[in-house]
Amino acid sequence: MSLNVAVIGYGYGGRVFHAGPVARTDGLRLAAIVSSRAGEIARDHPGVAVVADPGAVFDDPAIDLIAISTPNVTHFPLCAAALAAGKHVVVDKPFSVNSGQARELKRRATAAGRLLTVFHNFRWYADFLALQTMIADGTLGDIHYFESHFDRFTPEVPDAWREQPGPGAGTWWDLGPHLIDQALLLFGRPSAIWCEQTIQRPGGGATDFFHAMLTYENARVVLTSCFLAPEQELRFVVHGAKASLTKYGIDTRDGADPRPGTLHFADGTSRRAPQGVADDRAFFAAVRDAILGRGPQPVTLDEAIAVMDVLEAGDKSAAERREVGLCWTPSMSR
Amino acid sequence: MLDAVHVALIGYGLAGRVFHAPLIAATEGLRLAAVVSRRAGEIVAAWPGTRVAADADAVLADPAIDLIVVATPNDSHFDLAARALAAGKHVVIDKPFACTAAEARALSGKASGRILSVFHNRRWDGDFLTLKRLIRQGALGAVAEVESRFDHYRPTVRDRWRERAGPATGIWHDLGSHLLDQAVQLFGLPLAIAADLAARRPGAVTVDYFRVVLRYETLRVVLAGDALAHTAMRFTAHGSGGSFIKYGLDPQEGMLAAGIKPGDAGFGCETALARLVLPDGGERAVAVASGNYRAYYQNVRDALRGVAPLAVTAGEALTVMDLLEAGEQSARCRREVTVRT
Repeated sequence: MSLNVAVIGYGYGGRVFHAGPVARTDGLRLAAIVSSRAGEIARDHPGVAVVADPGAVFDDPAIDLIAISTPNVTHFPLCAAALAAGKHVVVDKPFSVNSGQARELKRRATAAGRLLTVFHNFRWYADFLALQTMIADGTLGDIHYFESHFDRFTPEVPDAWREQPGPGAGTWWDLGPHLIDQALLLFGRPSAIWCEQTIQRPGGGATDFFHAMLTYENARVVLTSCFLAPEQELRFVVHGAKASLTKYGIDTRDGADPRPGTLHFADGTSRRAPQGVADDRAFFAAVRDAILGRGPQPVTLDEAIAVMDVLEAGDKSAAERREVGLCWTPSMSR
Repeated sequence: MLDAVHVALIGYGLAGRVFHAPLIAATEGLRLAAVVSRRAGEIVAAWPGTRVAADADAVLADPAIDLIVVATPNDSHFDLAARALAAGKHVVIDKPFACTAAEARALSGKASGRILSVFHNRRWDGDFLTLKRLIRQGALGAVAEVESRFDHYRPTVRDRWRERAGPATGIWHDLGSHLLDQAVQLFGLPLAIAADLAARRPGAVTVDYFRVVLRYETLRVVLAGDALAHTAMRFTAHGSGGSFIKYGLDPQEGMLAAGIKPGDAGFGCETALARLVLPDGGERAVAVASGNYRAYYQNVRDALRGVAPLAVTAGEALTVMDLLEAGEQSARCRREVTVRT
């Protein structure tokens, strides 16, 4: 008996990160896709229903889980409608376009008794899994510096909603959530953020460069992205008491990491870091288990709301050109 | 044959011993006439024929001395340089210029008719020269981001003036002054500076970590120093025409410390290659230019002789002091500080 899944949106994210893995995950059945791209979907997923209107999958009693991969401003209304229809929901990052919406969705999911989670799939990337292992087994020692990059070389501004000004637009809201979520998993909640954002590409309408410094008592975390970086492969620079790690290679979402990191030691020697192995079905497998009561929810809403709080503080910091303190309620700080 | 410029070096710690004495001695037209230090035995052994004086007054009063090089702890730069200028000497000061921008400004005002320069030797680092050439040639296109790092692994706080509390101590002044000077050489004054400075090692009382963002119109320049890094990333420069990636510090300091003389075969040469990553993902190796700290003193000599403009002017060094202080203010107030409008 499989859970029936409907994916809303068949852009790059819907195709590569949602529909693809869902179709390959045991216990999940890709039942429907809401999109206008019927021809493309018929080729990629023959036999899967294609509908133009999300109302059709909300009203379909056979659909158990809705995965939303649409422009950021539509996350809130689509999540709200899916929950109201009694569906479980996965929404792509960012959760929504402000933290008030995120908190409201948490309230509605709790009231509806349905699973709602956010697609922070970078947690299951091979490079991050390997880093977590190296931290847990003491290879790196206590970490006092963590730098996380997501650089690109796309000098022409594409004609896309995320490049237009507006709530939830730009790379801070697009790639920032991944880097923030990973940092919070590793180090907990920072006491402050100091975020620089700008538009570097001619004709750009939304942030395409960010450099965010997160302050911790014993560590500094830097999250950064530049879209005019021909060398776009640097991913992590980590300094620990026992070793430093440098990691190149951006896309490690599935399979064995073809480009493991390098460990650097105080005596000047270096060696290859352990290789991480990823499975791009891991997030949806965890969602399946959580719905069936066989496992915990993979990304909790408090975790996803914390990411939203950091995104907003980063915008405030960039706008006011100063560090912004983050006040966490006691139950939320680690 | 022109008469040699007679130089007195004040201070024979790391800066005097490793940098100034051998560079002065290796520069044609300069003569290391005297060193002011208590380390007489060491100096006589290293520089036979050079006079050793126990205090600065002796060389300041000596009419045969033309140029005074101040290579003492930062807190004595102002006093010694002011006395040297008052005595009519030309003056070179090890960086940073002084403890405060106000001191540096006051010194600049006392220099009338004399050469006053600061030893921003890292303008002649081989990798910096290489990056500067690539930018000037347009090989990187429009530059979007530069990260300039100066990292070490020194987990233990040592009892030396550079690591004690006080004005102008810590790696922001010590290393940040180099990185600021290089950034201004490449791109001019930034619009603003945002600086995170921290003392993170157990027992640290002065800055041992900095990460600083210089804001230009669209360009961002990040300067970073970390005393707890096991890596030696040096430059990452991204532009529309390519990325320049360089690991490892210029070798001249290590060579000088090992007794290799400027002018010896291979001095300043780096065998490691830098990388130029192209927009299409291809890449090529870039030979790193030879570093040449001696060029600093050759220029001072030529400026003294009136045949070349001074390369590192007091005004430029003052700019670095202003930026160091703006960075400290930014770190204290936790906000960006405007540099120019």
